[in-house]
Amino acid sequence: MKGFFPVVSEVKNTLRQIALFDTVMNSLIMFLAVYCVLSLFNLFPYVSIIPAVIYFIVKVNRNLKNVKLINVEKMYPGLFEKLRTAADTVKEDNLIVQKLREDVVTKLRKVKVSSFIDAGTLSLKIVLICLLFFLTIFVTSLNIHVLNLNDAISGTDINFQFKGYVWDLFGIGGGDNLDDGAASENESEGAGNASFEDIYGEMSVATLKGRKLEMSFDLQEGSDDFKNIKDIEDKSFNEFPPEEIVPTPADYDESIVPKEQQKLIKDYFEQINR
Amino acid sequence: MDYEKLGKTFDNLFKEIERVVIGQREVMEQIMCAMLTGNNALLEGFPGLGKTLMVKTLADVMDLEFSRIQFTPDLMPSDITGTQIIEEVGGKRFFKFQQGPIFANLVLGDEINRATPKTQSAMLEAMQEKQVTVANKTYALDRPFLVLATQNPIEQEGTYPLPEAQADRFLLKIKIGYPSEEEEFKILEQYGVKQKDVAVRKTIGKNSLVALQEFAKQVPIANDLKKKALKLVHLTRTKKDLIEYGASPRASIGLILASKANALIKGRNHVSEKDMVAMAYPVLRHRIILNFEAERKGLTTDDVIKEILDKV
Repeated sequence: MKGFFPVVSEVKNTLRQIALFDTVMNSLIMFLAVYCVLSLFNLFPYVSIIPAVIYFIVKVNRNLKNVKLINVEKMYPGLFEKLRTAADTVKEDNLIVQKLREDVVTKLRKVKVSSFIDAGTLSLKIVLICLLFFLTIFVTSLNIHVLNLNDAISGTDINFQFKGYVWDLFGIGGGDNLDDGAASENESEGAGNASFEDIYGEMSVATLKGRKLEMSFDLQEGSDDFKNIKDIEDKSFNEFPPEEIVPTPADYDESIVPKEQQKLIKDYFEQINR
Repeated sequence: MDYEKLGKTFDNLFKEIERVVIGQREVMEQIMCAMLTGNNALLEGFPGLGKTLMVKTLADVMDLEFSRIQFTPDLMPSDITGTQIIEEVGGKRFFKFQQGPIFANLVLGDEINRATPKTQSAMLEAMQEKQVTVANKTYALDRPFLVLATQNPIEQEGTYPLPEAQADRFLLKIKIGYPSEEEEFKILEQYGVKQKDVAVRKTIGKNSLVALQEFAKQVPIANDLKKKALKLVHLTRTKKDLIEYGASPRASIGLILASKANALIKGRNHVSEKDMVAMAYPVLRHRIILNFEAERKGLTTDDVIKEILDKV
């Protein structure tokens, strides 16, 4: 007969695994639900991992502490008080305790793992996870927003600092495509409404290894004023280049190019001209 | 003694006793609990309920030496423990110790509250130490040794109620009630009509009782039940609205021991909550003193114990 101690350890481990699995399922549901909600309101959806992780840590500790043999006794009345008594008297060894352990081991054989899993609730959770998953994909891929809260807080310092903090946390570079592909039409709004001059700081001062250098930008005559730059004009391109643009082989000095490569270069330009 | 046959052993024992003592099964079980733990018990009941018959029958069934001491106000300690007497053999005289009635396995002390405190002390000392000292010589008492002391709850005039400190030394205070009508009818049939004296057969011997006492110590108990027992006793100290003085740590120990013994008698290989609830009353009723408020409300110690059990 299998020993008492391995059997009790097995029972406890099984109960812990079930508790852990349940917590993982609940955390996943929480993550997907919060992710979906944040996406619908055009807020930063990766933040949803924080409440899910906190929930997981808190719940897993609580659930593992609640793993008690009394839960088994409640399901199987034949083990009532016997299992706990046998588990609490591991250090004792006498005839009566041995009889109790034999009795408990015999009855534990009838205990089924499935009796601790609520099939109905588990099925419901799996269905909910699938629904949330598909809903999230649907919302994010089609860029559906119930309310664009990101626009409301995009000009504030809080939003700028928060985004910077979150990018640092996840180790992701860049800061332009934070809004799930909802690119701003106005380029100047990509970094908030700060003016162009602000990104360079004071134009007359720069620092190099802690030493301040006075610099000034001397715009050459004929160079464009950056403020006057307009949006790129949409141009429609023809399938073939205009006739006036014809590639011709450029004049070159044969003495510069090695002899063995000259034929290669000629063949190349002939190919282009075709 | 084989553990497998324990269940049958107690069944046979009680069946044999019930041939003489009709009813009072619960009382017999509680006396048995006291015996299994090697402790003493107080029996409280009105006269004529068969207390002496009960104890004597138990002694016969277990092949134990039985003696009865009727306490009176003029009883001296030496009347209990024994004394030195002069004996003459072949013209020579010498002192010989004459053992008192306490030198038995099962001692029934009738109406212990009628004896003087000095005599009570002599009895209690023997109970505690399991030995007697007379003329600077110590005599050990035969094992197993159990004292069942009785108290009459009425006619307390001229008595010396057992002090709480002394009452605390008894593991259980067993209350003996009146038999039911059906039981009394059987008593009438047996003793009033047929007038039949029934001889009981020996069921278990002295050595078996010692083995049973060892088994009783070995019965396992869960940690949460130990905590429950502790909480129960602790509540008797904190329930100041009804209790003047609560139970001592001796009560916690007694409750655990009695619960183990009760589990063994019921044929269980572990202590159950039912055992603890059953033993709470006899273990605690003589260890708590109710205050005026409880007496004013007409509450008994059993009522207060029930209230505490509901809280635990």
